[in-house]
Amino acid sequence: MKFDSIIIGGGIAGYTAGLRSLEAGLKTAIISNGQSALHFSSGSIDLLSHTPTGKIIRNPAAIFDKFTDEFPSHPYSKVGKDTVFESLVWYKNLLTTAGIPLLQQDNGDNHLRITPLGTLKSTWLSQPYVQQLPMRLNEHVIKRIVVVQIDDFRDFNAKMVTDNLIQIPEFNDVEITHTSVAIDGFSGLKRNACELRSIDIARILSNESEVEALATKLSEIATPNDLVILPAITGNGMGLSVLNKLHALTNLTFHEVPTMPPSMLGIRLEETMIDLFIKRGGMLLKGDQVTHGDMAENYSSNNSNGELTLKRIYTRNLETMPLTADNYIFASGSFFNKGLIAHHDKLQEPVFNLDMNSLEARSTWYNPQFFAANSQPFLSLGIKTNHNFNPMLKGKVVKNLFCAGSNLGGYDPIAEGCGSGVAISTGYHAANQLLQNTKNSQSQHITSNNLA
Amino acid sequence: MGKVTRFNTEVLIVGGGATGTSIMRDCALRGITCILLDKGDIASGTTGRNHGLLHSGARYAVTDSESARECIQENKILKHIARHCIEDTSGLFITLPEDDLDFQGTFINACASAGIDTQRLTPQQAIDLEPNVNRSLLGAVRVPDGTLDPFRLCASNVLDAKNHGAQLLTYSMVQSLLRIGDRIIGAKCINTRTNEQFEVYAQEIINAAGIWGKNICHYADLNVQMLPAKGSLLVFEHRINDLVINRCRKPADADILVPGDSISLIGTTSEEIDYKNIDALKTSEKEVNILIEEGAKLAPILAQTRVLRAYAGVRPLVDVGGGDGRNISRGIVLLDHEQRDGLAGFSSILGGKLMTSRLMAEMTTDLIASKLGNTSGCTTHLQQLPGSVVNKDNKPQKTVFTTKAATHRHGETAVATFDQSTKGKSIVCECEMVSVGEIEYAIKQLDVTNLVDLRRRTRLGMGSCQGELCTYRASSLFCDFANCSGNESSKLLMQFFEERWKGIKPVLFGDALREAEFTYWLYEGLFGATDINKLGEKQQDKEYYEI
Repeated sequence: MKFDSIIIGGGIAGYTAGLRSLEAGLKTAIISNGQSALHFSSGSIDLLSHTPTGKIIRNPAAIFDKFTDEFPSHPYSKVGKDTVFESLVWYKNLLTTAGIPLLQQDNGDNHLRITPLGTLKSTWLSQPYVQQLPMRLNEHVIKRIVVVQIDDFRDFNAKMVTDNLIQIPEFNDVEITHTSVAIDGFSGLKRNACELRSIDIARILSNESEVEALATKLSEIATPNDLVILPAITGNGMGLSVLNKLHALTNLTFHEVPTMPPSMLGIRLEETMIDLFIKRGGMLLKGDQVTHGDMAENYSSNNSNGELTLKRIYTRNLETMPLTADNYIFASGSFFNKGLIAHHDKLQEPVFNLDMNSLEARSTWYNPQFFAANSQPFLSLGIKTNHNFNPMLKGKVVKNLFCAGSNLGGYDPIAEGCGSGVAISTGYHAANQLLQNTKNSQSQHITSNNLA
Repeated sequence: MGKVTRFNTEVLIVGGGATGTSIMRDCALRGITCILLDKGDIASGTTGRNHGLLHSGARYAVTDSESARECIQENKILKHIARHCIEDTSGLFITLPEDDLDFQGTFINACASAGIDTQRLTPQQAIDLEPNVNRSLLGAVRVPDGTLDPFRLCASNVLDAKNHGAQLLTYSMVQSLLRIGDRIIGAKCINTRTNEQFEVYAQEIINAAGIWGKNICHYADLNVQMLPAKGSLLVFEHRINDLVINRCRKPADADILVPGDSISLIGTTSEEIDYKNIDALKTSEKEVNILIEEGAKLAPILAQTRVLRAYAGVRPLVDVGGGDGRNISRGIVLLDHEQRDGLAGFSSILGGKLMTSRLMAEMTTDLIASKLGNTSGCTTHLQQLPGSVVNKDNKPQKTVFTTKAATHRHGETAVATFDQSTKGKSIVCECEMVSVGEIEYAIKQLDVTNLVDLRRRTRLGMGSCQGELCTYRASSLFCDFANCSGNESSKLLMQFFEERWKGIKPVLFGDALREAEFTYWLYEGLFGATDINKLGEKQQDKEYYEI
């Protein structure tokens, strides 16, 4: 099978690249091996919350140039400010059109979201029912917070949220309480914890009468002046419409907080991107995995190291039938997704054996404390790339392969609060580079035709 | 000055390992009042940091016949009194091509003279019994080895002792001994969780603190030389063997593979360490490599099995000679300090093994009882522990997986008291099938104060997910059953992952790294756990990155 572009990896970076590639009219395939990290994500888009040195960033656009000067090896420094912001606006519009509005602060500031532990995390774009608390938290206008516990649902604990929120000094004057609410449709399901995940509740709440019953109960415990914290228990595609309905019935202000996996907020993003990709004519090879590829060496006088071209790739399901494309985007994820493999003596990129950004021994991959102030070094490990995000194989650049997302090294998605921002901007950037490559080869093609 | 709480008792036992809790039970059964103190949780020292092997004694038969005899005797007793802590798997001693097959004869003879039953197997018979054994073996001998859950054993000892009037104080550390002339009369202690000080007055104090016992003796100005030897082990994700597998040769590194519930364990290495490092044990990368390499010789599939974590314990070896290190005992050392040092009211029980803990308790309690004038005999070898009693009334019943797992852990009597409501029966830990009711029982009845204690009592979080999802659910139950605030329960959660991290760091590669990344994404990326310790800081006081 022959494509213009093949994207290896079905996470946020892969779908961003795939959708961008389709938009440019290219014949595009995505090969995705199962669920992505979005299944345990907040469903908000983090752009840049902290510097690698731990300082808090209020407004990413305002400090961007200073940041890229100071941290030149960060992926954002390679993508560049214009493309980073262009890609996020593009992503925001794309998802909004598809029914998941992503909202931000008017002045471009980050905002704070409430976590399932009752702490605060900074992010940049959030879904409509995630209340955006200001970075200057003392400017908040909340009077009372009611945290809702769903009876017998153990993947969200309202008491934890409440008792921790109370300790935040800026909430000194806010009354914070928690109260529990029963969902009637549960009764048949309660016996086993595996039957009581967020997604099971979402299924129950796809029934209108259950939503109405819940609305009645919520109206009894809160008033429109309160901020009502709800675990994210409304579904996939229809999730927002259930919340719209709850809001219409109660006139309450909701703040959706993610639960233990599966996280409905993240799943909403993933499913929307998959839908868009298929509707727009992309080819999705789901549940398949790229095993290896064939590279060919290009002899070029201006590059003494030599360059490589990825000719074709092979997958687990298609076995001996290779897939070919002019360009490939490699968005295979990090260790968890098996985009990177840690052996006891070395790191490896398992598909093409690409060069890694670190050869240090295992003892440097971690910090003594798990919840260390300076995070965990293994999060910054990844594939070594040039300024165009082309990876290298034994020092030779693979010029039609572009890396994107969390298989890249040189940044810490969690501590810096930039995981989804890097995924979107590098995915978008990779697709742009690929378009450039395609245009170049087309114009070469035209030139040689003319000469003939 | 606030009032210092005072306790009065006949016997104060210091150390809540297998030995200490066995003494507690022995005293209680003889009608001697006692209090047991531990600076941490029960079974949190060496007791909980070994193979959990129910030795037949075969391992010692050739080199140490006295230990071998003690082991087989206690093996039989434990199978009777602690049925619920034991899995009677039997064990293989295999001879590999690089081993001397002649040793097998010596081994079988030595076992016979120690009273250990053996059965010589052909390689094919061994493979039929244990398909994952190294198939290049030349021969094997089957012995009555098994597995022994040290956490469950200690918890049952405590439960039985408490039923007979004894008292347990965990997270309580001795700070000094109270002395009048040539007699120790009590101990000054501190609760390490609340920092409250208290005093315990006792007629007899028993030092059963294992390797930490040297410090306790030091408080009495007595010099006892202990030589700490570290042993590291690895835990594997699957139960790769059903029988214990040993090498049929003289004991060496990494030559015992023990199944345990849903996992397998390989150990141990042996390395003398400095006494000052006994609380900061680390498993080195080199040890990890040795354990995998040598372990794969017993069962080659081990090399392809995910390592869940590493841990290390300290063998409490005692120098019973002049302190010059020449006369080191691996056996039981009971020191009557009145006789040895002229200091009354104080004894130490040191050395020994998990296998001989009941015997050590019997010897110690005999000594103390005679000092107290108590003439009741020891019955700990006859009376079954609470979970071990079998209900003879075998009615047909519905199988509930959690009940089955919990019965295995706590015995029928305890499980019958669990909350049987829908909430009580719902599952919290799916890897180890732990229900809400079992957690309630552990928190209320088994002195569980945090998630790490809970793991020791119930195995919650010991399975393949390493507690990543279930500990969150379990932490909220501390709000329900232990009156924890939400803030306290979130700190319990972090404490659990920090404790877990100690064992994961040495094996941070492969799937262990994948799991760690997932855990970090979840608890830090999604949940913002690190900020739990910074909740009181005002946002405006933090450090900002501006132009």
